[in-house]
Amino acid sequence: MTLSDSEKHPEGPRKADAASRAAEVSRLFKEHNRTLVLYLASRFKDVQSAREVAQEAYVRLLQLESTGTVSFLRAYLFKVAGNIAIDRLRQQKTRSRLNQPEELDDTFFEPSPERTLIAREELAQLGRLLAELPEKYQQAFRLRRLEDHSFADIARHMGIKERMVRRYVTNTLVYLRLRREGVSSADSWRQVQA
Amino acid sequence: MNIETVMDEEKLERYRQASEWLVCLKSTNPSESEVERWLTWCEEDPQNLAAFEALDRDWNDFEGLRTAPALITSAASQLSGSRMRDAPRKSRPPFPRCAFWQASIAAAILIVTVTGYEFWNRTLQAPALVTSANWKPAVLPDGSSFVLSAKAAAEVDFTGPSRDLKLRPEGEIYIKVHHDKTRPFIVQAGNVTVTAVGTAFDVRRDGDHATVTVEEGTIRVLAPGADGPLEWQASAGYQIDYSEREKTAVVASVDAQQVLQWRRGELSYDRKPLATVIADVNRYSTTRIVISDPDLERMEFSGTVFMASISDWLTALEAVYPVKAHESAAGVIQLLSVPMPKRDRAR
Repeated sequence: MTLSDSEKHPEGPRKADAASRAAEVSRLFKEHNRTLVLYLASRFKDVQSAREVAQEAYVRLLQLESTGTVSFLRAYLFKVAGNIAIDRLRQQKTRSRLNQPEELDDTFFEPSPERTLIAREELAQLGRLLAELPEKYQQAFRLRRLEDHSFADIARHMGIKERMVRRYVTNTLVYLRLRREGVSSADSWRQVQA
Repeated sequence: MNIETVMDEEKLERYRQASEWLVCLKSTNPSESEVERWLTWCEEDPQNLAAFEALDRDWNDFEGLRTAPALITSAASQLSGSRMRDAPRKSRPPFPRCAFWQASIAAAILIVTVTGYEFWNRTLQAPALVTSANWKPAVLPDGSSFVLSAKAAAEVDFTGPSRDLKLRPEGEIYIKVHHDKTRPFIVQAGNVTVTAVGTAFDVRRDGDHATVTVEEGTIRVLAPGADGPLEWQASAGYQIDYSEREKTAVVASVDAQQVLQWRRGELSYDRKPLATVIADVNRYSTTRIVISDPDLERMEFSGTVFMASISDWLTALEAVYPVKAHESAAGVIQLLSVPMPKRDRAR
């Protein structure tokens, strides 16, 4: 760098810092937006809430006096976002979500992998794919995904180890993915079991 | 292996890892270091993130089934049961997992007594250790039933293509195997392997001996010989007695019912040396009886020992024979000879 910050930005070093920090945070956001929204979407049921929280985390990061190194920033971004998510989930529990703000600035968000609730026919297809699996896989997956039970509770309920419940759920996910990519049920099953 | 299958394996492994991360992130609050590791994984390869996103979409798509669960059960399973059975597992490359996951591996073996049996009876997806403290027959998930002698324990592993049972040293197990041609029932007793499809037999480990007694059907026994593995076949009424020291077996015709009476919790004898009787009682019960007198060891015993009431039997023994049962330290009972009145000795 040949020019000092004060030379680049005649307004003074303080504003220059703010500007470069904004650029850095913005870059950080663009780089990690996908993962951040994915991460937040794992806490919320809807991508919309995830985006809102990501947005809020972005604002808080801009307000930081010192940003430090990028690796620190990334960790900080996810930590801040996680904390906001926890706060929001607490509020959601006590307050009705009727008056949710609708529009938010999407400048920093690429087209998300979000899909609204899939159509009933597609849903039925998903149900059929799940029904191809052995009952214990279906049961573990159902209890985890549709009834939100913890792995420990499912393990107790099914009388198996947590490790097996996890295996059933992850195997089911891989199986469904392969099936949705057009792999035959026998091949998918063989691959999952490999 | 062509390039296509290599690619497939890569993709499969990616999906596996993505699925692990997904359930990790969707569980309780993931720790900072877990999020950090997940981000590193996402950034390692753009395809990692794409795989994760795909699975995340699949996961989200299930949201609709929450309100329409009937859509799952309405479809019948398209695959036959045999094809969907768990294949033997191959080891996978290590993969960073949630701390919670690692903690659950710590409890590697599930210890179950026959009394607490119902807990695991429903399913046996993982290897388990079975023990028993009484003579209650228990049923394995495949429909086979077994009786374990006291102090005996067996490791049961039904996750593979065969039904595997490993008998711990010193113990006896009687198994009535549920018939299943596609899944042999294999009992491992030391170096000795007993294979059955649908039959009833008894395996006993005692010192360097493994003894297999067949009650019904036919079994195959495999064990190391002096010059390579040896195989024996035995049908109902035969007993194979293998010695690990001599690396050979003796096949003999036996009264299977006599051999197997232990599983009913009683032992009947007709003029057998007391040493033999005590050895059996020690094997099948939790008590430990010691005879220190050679004369006593040779003394003949006739009668029935009920394993559930060893102390009653000892009391009866004291009344009839010139013995005194003395409980020395730590549950060890010593049989001592006592001088008999002259008239009794003359008898």
